Amino acid sequence: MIVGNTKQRRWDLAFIIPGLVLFVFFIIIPLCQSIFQSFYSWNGISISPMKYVGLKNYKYVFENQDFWHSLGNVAWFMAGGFIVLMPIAFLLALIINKQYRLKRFFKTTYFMPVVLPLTAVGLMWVYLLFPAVGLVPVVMEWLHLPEINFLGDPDWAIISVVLVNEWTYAGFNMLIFSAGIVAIPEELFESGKIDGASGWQQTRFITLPMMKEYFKVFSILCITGCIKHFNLVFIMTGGGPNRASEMPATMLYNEAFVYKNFGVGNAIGVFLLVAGVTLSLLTNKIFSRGDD
Amino acid sequence: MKKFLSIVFCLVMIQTMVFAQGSQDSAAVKSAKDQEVTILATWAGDYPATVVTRNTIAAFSDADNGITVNADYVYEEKAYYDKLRTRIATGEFPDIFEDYGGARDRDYAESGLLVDLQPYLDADTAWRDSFVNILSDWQYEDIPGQFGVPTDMYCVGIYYNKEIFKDLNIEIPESMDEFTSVCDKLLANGYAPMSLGEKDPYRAGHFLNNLVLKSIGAQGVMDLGSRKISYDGPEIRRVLQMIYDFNEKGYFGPNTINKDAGMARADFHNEVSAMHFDGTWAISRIDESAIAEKVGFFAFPYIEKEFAGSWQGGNNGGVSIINTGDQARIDAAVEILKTLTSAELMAAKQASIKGGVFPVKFEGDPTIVSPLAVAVSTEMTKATEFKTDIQNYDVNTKMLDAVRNALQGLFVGGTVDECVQDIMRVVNAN
Amino acid sequence: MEKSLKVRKGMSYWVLGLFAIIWAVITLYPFIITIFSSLKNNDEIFGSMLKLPSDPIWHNYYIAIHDAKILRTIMNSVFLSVISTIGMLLFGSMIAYVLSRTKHVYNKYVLGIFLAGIVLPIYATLVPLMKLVSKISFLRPNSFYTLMFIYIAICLPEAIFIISGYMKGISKELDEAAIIDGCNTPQLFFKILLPISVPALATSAIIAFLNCYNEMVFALLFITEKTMYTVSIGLLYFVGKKTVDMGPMFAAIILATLPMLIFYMFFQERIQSGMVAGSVKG
Repeated sequence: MIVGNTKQRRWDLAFIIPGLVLFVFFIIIPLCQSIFQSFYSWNGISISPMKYVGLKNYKYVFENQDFWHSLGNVAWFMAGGFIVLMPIAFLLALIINKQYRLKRFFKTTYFMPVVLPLTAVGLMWVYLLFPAVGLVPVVMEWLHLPEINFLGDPDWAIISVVLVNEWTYAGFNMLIFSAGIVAIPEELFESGKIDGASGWQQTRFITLPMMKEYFKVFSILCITGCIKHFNLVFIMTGGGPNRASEMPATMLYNEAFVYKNFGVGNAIGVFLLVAGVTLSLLTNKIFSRGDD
Repeated sequence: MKKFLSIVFCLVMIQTMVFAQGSQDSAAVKSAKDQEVTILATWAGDYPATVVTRNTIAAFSDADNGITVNADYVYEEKAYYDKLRTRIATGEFPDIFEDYGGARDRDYAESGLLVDLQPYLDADTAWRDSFVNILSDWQYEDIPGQFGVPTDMYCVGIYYNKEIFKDLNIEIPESMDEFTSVCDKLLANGYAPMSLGEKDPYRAGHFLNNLVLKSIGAQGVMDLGSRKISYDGPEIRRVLQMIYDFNEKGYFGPNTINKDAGMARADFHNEVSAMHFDGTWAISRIDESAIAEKVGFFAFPYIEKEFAGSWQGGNNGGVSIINTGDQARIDAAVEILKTLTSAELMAAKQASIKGGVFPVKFEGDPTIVSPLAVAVSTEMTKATEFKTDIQNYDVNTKMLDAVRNALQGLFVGGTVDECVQDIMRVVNAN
Repeated sequence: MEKSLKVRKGMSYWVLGLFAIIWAVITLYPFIITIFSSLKNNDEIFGSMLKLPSDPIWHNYYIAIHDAKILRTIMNSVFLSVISTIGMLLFGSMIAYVLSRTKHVYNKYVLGIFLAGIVLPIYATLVPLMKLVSKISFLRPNSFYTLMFIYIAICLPEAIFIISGYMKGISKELDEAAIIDGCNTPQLFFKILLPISVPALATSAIIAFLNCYNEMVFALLFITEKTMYTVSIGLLYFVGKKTVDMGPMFAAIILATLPMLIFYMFFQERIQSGMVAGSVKG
């Protein structure tokens, strides 16, 4: 509705305000304070004064080679998100919207990994990936694949966590795509069938184009989720071995809550904020190309 | 939707009933005049000694002494620190909190957050003299004062499977050379000599503590903390090389980087490994395990004979008081500290776990203590000096994490040089 | 109305079916391991986690229920999550409606605010938020409603993105027709748009419920009263400084996942229905 009368405009405002007020109060105001504090040095004791240090916290962060390494790990997470998670989640969404006899069973089991607490999932995978005796190495040996110490090898640790992450959240993202698939009108497929389109062709030429909005939602959630990822890394490797799987968010946590350098922690936070918003807006732009 | 809404309403009803009940429980008992004191500590869960502590606090609160205690117990370590740090950062201070002292609490002592307990200890000499010699965990060279007292104690040594030792005709090793030959013999007979569990970085951290203590002693530890001895000097390189070699030779078992402390412990309980390097908190777990009867204990082998009496040990938790400026509150908090460090509580804790080591001298009942606990206490009498984590005496608060993370490098193909470089990067950044 | 894509059972049907079964196996397997583990003790879990329990220890469930009071924490969490989810759905769908179906100048900025809010890791804003909350006497600790406000705020952006994405796909002619029929905005929204949007609402309800049910940091900081512990805090009961009671913890986990599964199955059905034919722009 492009033109609205005053009454409609007021209603629109009234619709936005309650949620927005809540969000601004509980999220945005603390966020602004956190940006403010990133220019100060503070030891996290309320009676200790904050000392203005300008860009020193940022300098400290950017000169730290571990930080750049952790950004590389974020890149792994994003790559996993788009190359592994997105196709799998989309396929799962297709599956639960097709007429398989086990549809109900599939729907429930696919969601299982997110229902279990992450601590349990993390621990289980530590065992499944355990060298020589874990299920995955056993299967790999059976297939004559090279032996890999998934969580113990610094080069593999982050990749392993990324893959476990995709396994965990595939069912979760399946829901997002599923909501999109059910919104596609049946008639489109009917006419597709009359034209003699195969299953793949229907997916390629009807489902995928109709799902643009949902791929956009997925992309934004994936990017922001990867940038701030904390839990699974913390549980499965603790950032190890020897800091190989450290993420910006685990570094932020350590700086602020372990070493009590809240200024440095906030500087990392602000960097993540800027990077995340920029990437999300960029994604939005890419998806909006060719829109009205 | 209707069905769903009715479920919600049921929930609301149940919930209101539960809360009405809950608030009645807590509000009724005490009069309003009482001095309120809040405690934040890790004494949750069903470990018998913490149950005893919890009950003691509850009884203290209920007793007619003019003090009511609001206790908040969070068991898991990360969750506990999240809460502690946040409360201190927002100014919602607990009156008493639990921590390990040393470098972890240096900032708090420095900023004047903590009450100096020395005057209170001096005013009650019986209390002061009841502690074993680990009060220094809450003292700092450049900040005068006593900023906490220990409530729990630990020391570290090696548990071993007596049956396996007997079968293979192995003597208890005293020196490092003897220890390595024991490991070689165990390896040759198909045992993982001593699973370490380096997925938890504190494991090699503790191992390093012992190697340092047994090679340069307690004074050496202090010198390391003040940089009189450097982390890239020959003293540290020598013991790092040992860790590297031990791992290469397989003394810590296969895949030690993949195992956490729990798995290493399970290896010992399942008789995969013949020895288990751990703190005294392991005693009650071993006593519950299937091999309880077979386990003995010996001191960590010395590297230099003169430092055979230097042990890793110290507080395994203690309490500090936050300076709220309200003297009545502080006085009440000191009363609670005295209860928490009383001989009665220590004796009750000992009875509940059938052993253990304690930071306060008291007359225990030797008949209730488990054989393993007796073995540990006997061995402990040989100790002449205790130091806890060596980084606790460091000028740099980041050293604990820095060293532990760097040590992990030794288990994933890193060399001693790389490990030293990792540590020095943090030393020099400060 | 069963809504599914009728495809000829060609190659794609079987290939996809094979993948479906493989994925079901690798997602169900860990749940089975969790059940096994809930019947073992520490040494057996650490020693041979992937095997059947040699001698099932049902006592673990007794510890979880009796000692850790896991049932009460489950009830608290369900209550907290249901109310938060309802509030989130209401606020979130209203905002999503405005953002997706009107062209106000402020839409861009509102969207920007919500985007900025989800990028930051929780530990960056924790201390400022707690400071803010502690200053306001209305938001006392040990109160579920403070937590609910925070949970609603945290869950809003995701829900807004999902619901507005869906609402964009609903034909705008519908609104115009409704206005001509004399509907005002609330009528249009509640009577026409919301019922059509059930799939998106159900999706975001599941996601929000899940996030609230498993949330730990805020629950930890706000709740000190034992009777008010949530599930995630209840599970900490088993994790000690240097030791963990794995068996009872897994038993508690099994119990704790049941309400979540029920909630999921209930709402999952709703994702399938909804959409009125012809109301979508094609």
